[in-house]
Amino acid sequence: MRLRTQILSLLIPLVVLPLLVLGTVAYRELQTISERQTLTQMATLLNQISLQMRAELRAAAAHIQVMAKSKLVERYALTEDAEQRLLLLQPALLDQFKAFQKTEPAFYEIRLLLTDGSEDLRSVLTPLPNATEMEGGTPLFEAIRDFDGEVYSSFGWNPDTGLPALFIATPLYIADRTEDPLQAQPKLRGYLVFTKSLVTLADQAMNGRIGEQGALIFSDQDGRIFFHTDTERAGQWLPPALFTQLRTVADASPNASHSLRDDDDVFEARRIHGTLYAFAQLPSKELLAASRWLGLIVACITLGAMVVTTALVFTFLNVTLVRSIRRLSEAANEFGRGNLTVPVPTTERGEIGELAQAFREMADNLLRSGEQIRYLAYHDGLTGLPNRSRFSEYLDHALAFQRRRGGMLALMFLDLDNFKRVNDSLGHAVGDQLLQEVARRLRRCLRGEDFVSPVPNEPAGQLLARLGGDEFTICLPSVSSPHDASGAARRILDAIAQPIVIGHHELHVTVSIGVTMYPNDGESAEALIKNADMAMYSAKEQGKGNFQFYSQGMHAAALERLALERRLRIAIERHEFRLDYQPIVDLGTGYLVGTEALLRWDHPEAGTISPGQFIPLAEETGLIVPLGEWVIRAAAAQLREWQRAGLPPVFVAINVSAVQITRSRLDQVLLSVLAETGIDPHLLHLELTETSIVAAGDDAVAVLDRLRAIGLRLALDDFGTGYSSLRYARDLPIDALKIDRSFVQDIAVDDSDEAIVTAILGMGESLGLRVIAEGIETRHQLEFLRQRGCQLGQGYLFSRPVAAALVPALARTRLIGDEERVLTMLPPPRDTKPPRRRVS
Amino acid sequence: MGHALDGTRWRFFARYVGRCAAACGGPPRSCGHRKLRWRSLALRAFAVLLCALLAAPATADDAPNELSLLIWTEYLDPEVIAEFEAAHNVRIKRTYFESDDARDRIVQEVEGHGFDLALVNDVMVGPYAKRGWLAPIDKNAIPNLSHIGARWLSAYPSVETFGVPYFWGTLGIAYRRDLVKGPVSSWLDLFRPDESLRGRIIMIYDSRDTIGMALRALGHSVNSTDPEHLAEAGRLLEEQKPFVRSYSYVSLSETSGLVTGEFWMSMIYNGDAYLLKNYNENIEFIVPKEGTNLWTDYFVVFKTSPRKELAFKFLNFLSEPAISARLAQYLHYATPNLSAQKFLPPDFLTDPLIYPPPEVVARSETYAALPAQTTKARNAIFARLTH
Repeated sequence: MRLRTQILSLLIPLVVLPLLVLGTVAYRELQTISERQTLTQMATLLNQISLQMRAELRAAAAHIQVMAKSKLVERYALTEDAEQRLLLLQPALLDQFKAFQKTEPAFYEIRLLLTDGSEDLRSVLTPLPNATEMEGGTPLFEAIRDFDGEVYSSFGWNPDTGLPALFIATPLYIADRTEDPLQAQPKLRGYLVFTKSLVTLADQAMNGRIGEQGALIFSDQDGRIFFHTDTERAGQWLPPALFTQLRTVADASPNASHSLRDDDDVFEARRIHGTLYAFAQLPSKELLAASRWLGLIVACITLGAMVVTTALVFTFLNVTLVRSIRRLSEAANEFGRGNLTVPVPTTERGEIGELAQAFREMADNLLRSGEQIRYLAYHDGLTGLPNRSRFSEYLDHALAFQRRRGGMLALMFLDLDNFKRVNDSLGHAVGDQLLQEVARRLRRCLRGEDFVSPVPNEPAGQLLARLGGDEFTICLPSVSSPHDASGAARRILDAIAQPIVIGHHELHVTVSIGVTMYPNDGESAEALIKNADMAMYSAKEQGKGNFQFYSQGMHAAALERLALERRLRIAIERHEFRLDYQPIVDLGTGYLVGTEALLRWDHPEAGTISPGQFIPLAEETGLIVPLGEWVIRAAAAQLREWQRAGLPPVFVAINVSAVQITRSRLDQVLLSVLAETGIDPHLLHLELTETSIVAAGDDAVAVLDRLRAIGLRLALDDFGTGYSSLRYARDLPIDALKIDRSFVQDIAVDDSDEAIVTAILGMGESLGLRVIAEGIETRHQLEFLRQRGCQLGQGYLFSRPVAAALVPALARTRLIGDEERVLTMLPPPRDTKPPRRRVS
Repeated sequence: MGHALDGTRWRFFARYVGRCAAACGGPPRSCGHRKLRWRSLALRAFAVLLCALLAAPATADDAPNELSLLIWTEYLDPEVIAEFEAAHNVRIKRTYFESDDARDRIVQEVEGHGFDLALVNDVMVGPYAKRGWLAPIDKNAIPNLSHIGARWLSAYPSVETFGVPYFWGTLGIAYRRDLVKGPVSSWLDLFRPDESLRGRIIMIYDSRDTIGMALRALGHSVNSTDPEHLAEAGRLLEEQKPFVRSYSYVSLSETSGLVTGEFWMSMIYNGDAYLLKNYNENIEFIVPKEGTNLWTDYFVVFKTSPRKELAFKFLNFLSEPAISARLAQYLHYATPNLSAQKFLPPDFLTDPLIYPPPEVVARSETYAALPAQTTKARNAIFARLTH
């Protein structure tokens, strides 16, 4: 059961039951009161009417008595002679009566009846028909005649008009003044009779409304209706049975009214006068209707109270508890669905409020960490640029968009040239700063509004991303031709070409850019990126610092590279490699003192492949590690073989790349090789280039120290081509320097190179390092080096690289002076070194 | 004619002087007083009652030489009165009434007490006598009765015993010739008047005259006892009522409504019309073609009067032919005193307004005693009319 239902099912009975009980009790009480009140009102009305009528009767009696006592009336009554009476007295008496009637118009008829009932005088205000002038036999006259009292009164029917009237009469007892006053007895002379209209009673009946259907009824003592609220019923008779009942009730006490109920009506009956009864009638239905109406009101009030109370409770619960809880739970559900921005109600106080606060904080935290995660997931930490994932998503959208549009899209792949060298030489901190600066410039290069489109669904903008390392990608979705893309590429090249100052260093950096166009250069994101990468390599091969559009040819070259890589792996397995050895000669004696092992790949189909062709690939792919290990083992084995063959102790120099230093456990390999072969460690020389030492990073020196500790000799290869040769020569744990062939070859050509060679030789001498000159091809070079104190050298002048089998023979031969002969025995010379590199 | 005019002018002057004198000391004759009296019957009755109660004993005890007279206004020549007063060292105290009915009310209030003499119209002498209010006339004390025409002496019941004829006359219509459109010749011109007369008519406060002339107008006898006739007459009077300004006798002064033009038509006795005509020549008097009532006024002496002898002397004085002639000329009424005629000028005796021509007399009636039922009916009609 829900919380609200539970609370309501508890509270509503608590509210409703008392209200119901209260309503019922109130209804019963009010019903009784209402009925009693109605009856009381009816009784009060009748009482008022009764009082009023009695007052009227009293007033009428007073009037008639005053009138009867007037001298004129007395004289009139005493005048027995009709002529005298009528002629002399009547006009005056009529004046008197009229004057009275004018002030009391209700007394519309005043009559003077003689003892026999004949009407002697009649004064009416308005002309009225006169039913008879001889009243002798009328019931009224008989009643008056038989009445024994001062003032007779009765309510009855005026025969002249047929209307109800009040008759007031008084007998005129007058003593004859002509007789002796002591003896004379008052004698009945006649009757003074007033007829009074019952206007007030008629008004009462007409206006004295009893409820809606009720009536006020006045009747005579026989049940004939004088006045009825329903005026049409005046003059009719009340049902005799009912009237008998009513009259009995009313007669019970003349000064109070009594109620009577029959089947249909409630009556209040009152005897006002012996000849006047008043009844208030109210249909039982109406009495009950009032009660029913009351009941309805009470029911409505009760119901209303219940509804209001329930609604209040409901609302209160809703507002204070349920709604808050539901809102919180809705908010929680929304959180669950991942929508963390749903507002959490904050208005509540107390526990709910605290709960809401906790929810809010939780949501905020979730939101914040979610945003962070999303940011991290889609952005590069260093530069703040979108990362590979973000870029992939974006590119997919952009492609889908252009596909629908049938538009073009350009994708650029950027790679910093020689970034590795910067990192190696200046440290990662500088490298990182360099990347940040490059990212800034790239951003600036791209038009402000479109270099980045943070909204994935909006693929119209450009997007710059860092894929990793020194690789950046740029997507230009709104290009209309390759020309647009080349413009952008040029801008980028110019921007990056500006010197970059980081700390105290001023760096000159270039970037190589590969550009692919959708849909020409690929349909999928993957293909476009791959092809752009390829185009970038092409740019590198073109000498770096430029951009290249992708072409099918690049694709072919790439395929070739792939094939090469595959072949390389196979070649390692199949031992298609061999080592040639180039003698290193003591320039003083002319005899061989060592050899440099040079790797050769005898491809079954392509023939011998030079190291320049596959070594970079092997380094790139990591194949250099097993290959290098093979070289070490092969060279060590060869050296042992030579020693066993009784050769003088010549050393073997092995080229080691940076990858080997960092990735393989070079010292371990060497230790195991030494242990296996038992050769003198001094006879194993490792040749490293400055570049590879830098590339190997900070660990390189430690590795070198360990190697030297084992007993190996280290030589710095290609010396002079690096950027800080002198520092390396001094600080590295090395035994020898090898002067790069480019310097040697320029001897006698370039003075500066000669100076460099001289400087290197001097430096080697002062640092206690042996110096080996490479690429000696002429006698002149030899002589120059000899004169400058160079002890060792190698080159075609002495010997080309030769197979291992030929080395013992050469070892026994003096290689200076008769090199022509030796050389002719050997295969044509091949360059063993990659072309000279310079940092651009 | 010129002489007659001169005589008239002189009488006017004399009457004017006399009236001024009376206004100073005697009973009020000024217009204001009279109006007040006319207006309120009750007030008048009350005043008379006071008079009777307070003045009567005074006349009886303290002022033995005062003779109390109940009479119409303008019905005595002040000079004649003065002469009698001077001759007998007596003061004639006059109490006025405006109509016979009004007089009846006064007398019945006091049951004949407080007055020595009254002027009573012909048919009422009988009831007065019957009521016991009157004293028989001592014919020996009034030798001048011999001058009076025999027919007047016994024309009505009881008059022979109780009455001394004074004047006789007719009842007619006075109207403003200049204001009323068309000729006036019928009672119906009065009872069913032209619309222009609404509120311009004045009627006598007298049931006998109003009902009688209404009966006459309808072609019935003034003494009709037929209830139908009476009812008809009653209806006619009710119809007329909206045109009637007042049921009270028209003022006879110079400022009378008829003179000023406030009223255009009035029921009036012939001599009074003559009087008003002197004030305004546009006032015309006619006896309607249907005929009229011929009336005679009688002096009566009250039974309770303590000065009957003086009263008889006064009546004897008035019945002197010369005095009678003076009065007739002053009042413009016909005198029953045959001997007085030789004192009257011929134009007076032939004046048709004063002496109706025989054809008028032929059409006319005198009032007669009526049965009780008729009286009752008339009372009812008149009461309704005047309330």
